[in-house]
Amino acid sequence: MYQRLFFLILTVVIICSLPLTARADTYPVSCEDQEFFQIERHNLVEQQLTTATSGQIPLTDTKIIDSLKTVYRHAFVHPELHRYAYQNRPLPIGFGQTISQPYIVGLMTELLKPRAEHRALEIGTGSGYQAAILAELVETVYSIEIIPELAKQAQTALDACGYDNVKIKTADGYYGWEEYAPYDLIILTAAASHIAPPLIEQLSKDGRMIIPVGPPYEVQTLMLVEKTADGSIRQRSIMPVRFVPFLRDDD
Amino acid sequence: MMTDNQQSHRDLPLTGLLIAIFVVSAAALSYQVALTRIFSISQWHHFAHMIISLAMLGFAAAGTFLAFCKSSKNNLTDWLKIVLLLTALSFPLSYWLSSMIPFETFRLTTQPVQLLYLLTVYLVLALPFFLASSTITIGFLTVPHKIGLVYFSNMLGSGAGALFTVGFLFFLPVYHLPYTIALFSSLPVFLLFKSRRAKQLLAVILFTAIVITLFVGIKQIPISQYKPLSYALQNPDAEIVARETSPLSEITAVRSSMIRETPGQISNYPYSKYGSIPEQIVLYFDGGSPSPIINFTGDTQPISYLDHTTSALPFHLDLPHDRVAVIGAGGGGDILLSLYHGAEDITAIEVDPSVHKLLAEDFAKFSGNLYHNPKISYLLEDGRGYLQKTPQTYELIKFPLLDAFTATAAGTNALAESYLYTREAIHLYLDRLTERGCLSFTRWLRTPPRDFIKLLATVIEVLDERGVENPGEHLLAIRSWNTGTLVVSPTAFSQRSIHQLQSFADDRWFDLIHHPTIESAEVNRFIVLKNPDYYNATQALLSPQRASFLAEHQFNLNPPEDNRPYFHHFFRWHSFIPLWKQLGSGSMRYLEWGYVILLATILQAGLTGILFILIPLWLLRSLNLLRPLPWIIIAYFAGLGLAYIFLEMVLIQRFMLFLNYPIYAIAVVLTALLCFSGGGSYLAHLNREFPFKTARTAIIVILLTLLLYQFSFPLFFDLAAGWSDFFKILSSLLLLAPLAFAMGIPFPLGLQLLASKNQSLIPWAWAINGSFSVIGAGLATLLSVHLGFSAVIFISGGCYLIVLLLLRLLISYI
Repeated sequence: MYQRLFFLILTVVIICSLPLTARADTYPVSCEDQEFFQIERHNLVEQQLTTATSGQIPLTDTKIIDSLKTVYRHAFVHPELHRYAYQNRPLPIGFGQTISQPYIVGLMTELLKPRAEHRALEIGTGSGYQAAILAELVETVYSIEIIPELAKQAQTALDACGYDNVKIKTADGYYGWEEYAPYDLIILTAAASHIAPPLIEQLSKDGRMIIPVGPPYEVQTLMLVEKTADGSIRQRSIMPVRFVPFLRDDD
Repeated sequence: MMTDNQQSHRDLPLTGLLIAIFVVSAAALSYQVALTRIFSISQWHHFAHMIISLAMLGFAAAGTFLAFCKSSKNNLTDWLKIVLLLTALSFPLSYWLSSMIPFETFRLTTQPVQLLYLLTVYLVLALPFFLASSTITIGFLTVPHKIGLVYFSNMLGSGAGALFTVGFLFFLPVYHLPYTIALFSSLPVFLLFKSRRAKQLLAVILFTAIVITLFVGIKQIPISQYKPLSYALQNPDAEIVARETSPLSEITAVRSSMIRETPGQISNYPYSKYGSIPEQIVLYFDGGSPSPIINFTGDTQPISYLDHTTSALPFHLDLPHDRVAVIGAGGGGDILLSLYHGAEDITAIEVDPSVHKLLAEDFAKFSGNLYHNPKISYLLEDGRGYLQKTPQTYELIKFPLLDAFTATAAGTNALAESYLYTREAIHLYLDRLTERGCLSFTRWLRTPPRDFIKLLATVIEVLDERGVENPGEHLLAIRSWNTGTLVVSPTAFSQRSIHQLQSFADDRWFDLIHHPTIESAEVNRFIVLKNPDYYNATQALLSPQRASFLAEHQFNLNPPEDNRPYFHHFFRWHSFIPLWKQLGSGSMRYLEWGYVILLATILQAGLTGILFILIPLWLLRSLNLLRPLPWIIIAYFAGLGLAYIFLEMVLIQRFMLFLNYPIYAIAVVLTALLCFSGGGSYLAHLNREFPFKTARTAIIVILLTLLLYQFSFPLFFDLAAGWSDFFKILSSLLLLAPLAFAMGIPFPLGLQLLASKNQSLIPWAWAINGSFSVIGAGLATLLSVHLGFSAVIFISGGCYLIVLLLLRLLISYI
């Protein structure tokens, strides 16, 4: 009996310890739609993003809802994750980074109140999905990514999907992108311990900046920073956002 | 049960057995500490306690298992040798296997397979405790007439293990510990084998194990990808520049041009005028709690960003700030701020020796040789302890952001005691101020607001206690979006100071919370909250409605005191459901994880422990015992388990305030309790013919000592506050000796009584005691949080009284 128990424990241990195959961090991009994706995308927007589920505020801006229906999220994730692409959850994109949850992308975009003539600065390109959503709504998107491989992958996906109004550079986002400043909108996709003063300087008067604040593993609160006409700023804590842990690269 | 013990005993040298028990006990305690540290580093410390508490039930499981194995083997000595060898090998094996399991705390709620991983972690970690406990239990069974001696060896070993581990962790990283204790604990096996051939075979096994270990390599601790250190290392230029190990924490120093930790918001820092903030080396404590060391060249302009944080407020007031004390120097931010504002005499106090070393030696040049600066005295001390013993007064005493934002936000500190913010502590700080001096506290702000309001409530109550007529005139408070600073003065603030506060806040886009003449129109202007919660709370605290405000608030904001120093505990059951409704499922984030995990720990330990106790009871039915006896045995050994662990936990807390360093308190109290209890069990062995009389004397001594402690400790701690560490430790050992000695007596006496009736009961009694020690550890914390340390001591005393009555019953039945 003890022998059996021992072998049972050992088997469980071995199975649990098996190293799972890691995915390559760069991958080919396919910006083609399929019926499965269309249905999933439609269900995601209609059932999860625009309805008050789990206590979240539903998205209401029709332009943003349309952009979420238009942008192929599956093009911005690894082909192995295509089947999860239209679930309302973050997914790994390699280098320990994630593509944000679609609801958070929609909500942050809605808080920015984008208009067609706006120039937007994004800090943290990541997969390029947020940039694609913004590209549907504003004139130009300037996006900065710290990890060169991610910047390259995002550029490939954006090019493949025809977003030619997105410019990406590999740099430390803390300093913003002075060359094209000021910006009407600034979006930070990763949590920070403080709002970088260079970004406040690069925000235009009447501009809006959205930033998630709190511990990196648990996005806490969305902070909206508005620059008034006299150059002073007003910061508003908008809402707590629900933390959804992401899958690891090796899951 | 296992027969022919006398023959077994003939084969086994008693000294060898006692040495084996001593070493295995030391190893088990050492492994317990090692696991706590390992899981605090790889995951989160509150989960560490949960995991280890269940693993510790392996101790109880062994008793249950051996009670179950009746008549299965008749040669205890052979079993002892095998189990001892397996115990030694299990330490590194269990650590190695557990580190292979891809368990991730933060995915427990979303990835069902994590539960399987967690279960596997439990099983793998429980293995060494199971084996170690089996060794000890077999030891009891081998020499049932000398149980007191075996227990003496067990306690002495545990005490030595505590001391050894603390010492070890000063020199080597914790992941070396499982391998080291394996080596030590395998040595006594040689003493148990008589034949030369067996010894040779054993040597070959050990040699092979060592070779395999060297070949596979000592496995480092895998750190959760969700910890701040993992995030920092993703920066392309991130580089680990130093590692420091101590029993308190493992510090990893990371250098990257892309890490910028600031002590709060700096929105209005004129970046284009002064340029970027200086480079930092960030210290990560157990992979979390980032604390920056700022590059300082002597030029004060690059550090001017510090003047754009809320903690710069006291320097902008019309008050002297030449003589400054910084309580918790950390990476040196507040020292630089003091220098920036021209302070002439700065006393910087740091409690962590590793931080002290990194600042004073490894990164001395990087940090501008701050600690060789003639204006700065850099002391390795506990902040409160230092202020307690010094007669010096200061113009400004600063309390920087001591906790990391991440820990504060996640509520993981909920059950960490903090003697820094108790009422008694605030009184002391005010006593150490000059007439026009002030205290300055900076804390992270949380949503919904609580920490800062609790601090305000504590300070206001202390000012009241000191007879200040209008406490509101002695307070100034401001906030950024993530920090708040409170300035307190024994003298009322002047109109000039109020103007200075207003212009400081306006220039930096900070919001006012309080000044003596504040109007509601002045608040909530820059960082707009839905409601001006901080202003409203301060007004309520300063009004006659303070008591009802505190009583009705959704969080526990009652001022902490030394008897219940849980500043970070805010949880109130009655507000849980309204909070849940208010915040939706997002309220999970606001749960105090430390508290929730504690409840989960008690629950899981309770359920599993009870199972371990009841299974043998069911199996032992056939023994045809007198009906009430099993329940008397359960109550006796459960009571002893609870009483002992309650005192152990509370005494560690009490001595933390006296000895100042948590690690001293743990080492001194554990070593003293276990070793002196070992002495007590030796006495129990000598007096085994008079169990009731001996136990009665012991319990009377325990109760009298506890009563004496209760009244004399505060007086003694005050009297001895200025003593050197050596005399403090020595006096602590002497104070604890009589109590610990007496505490070691009742358990072996009970076991000896059982042995005389039926040896099958010994493993079971051991399981009961083990289970309740684990349940009691969690319960002691829970009771301390809600009722205070004195109440826990009182309950423990009550348990001992009940135990005495039960012993009387036990004797009459046996």
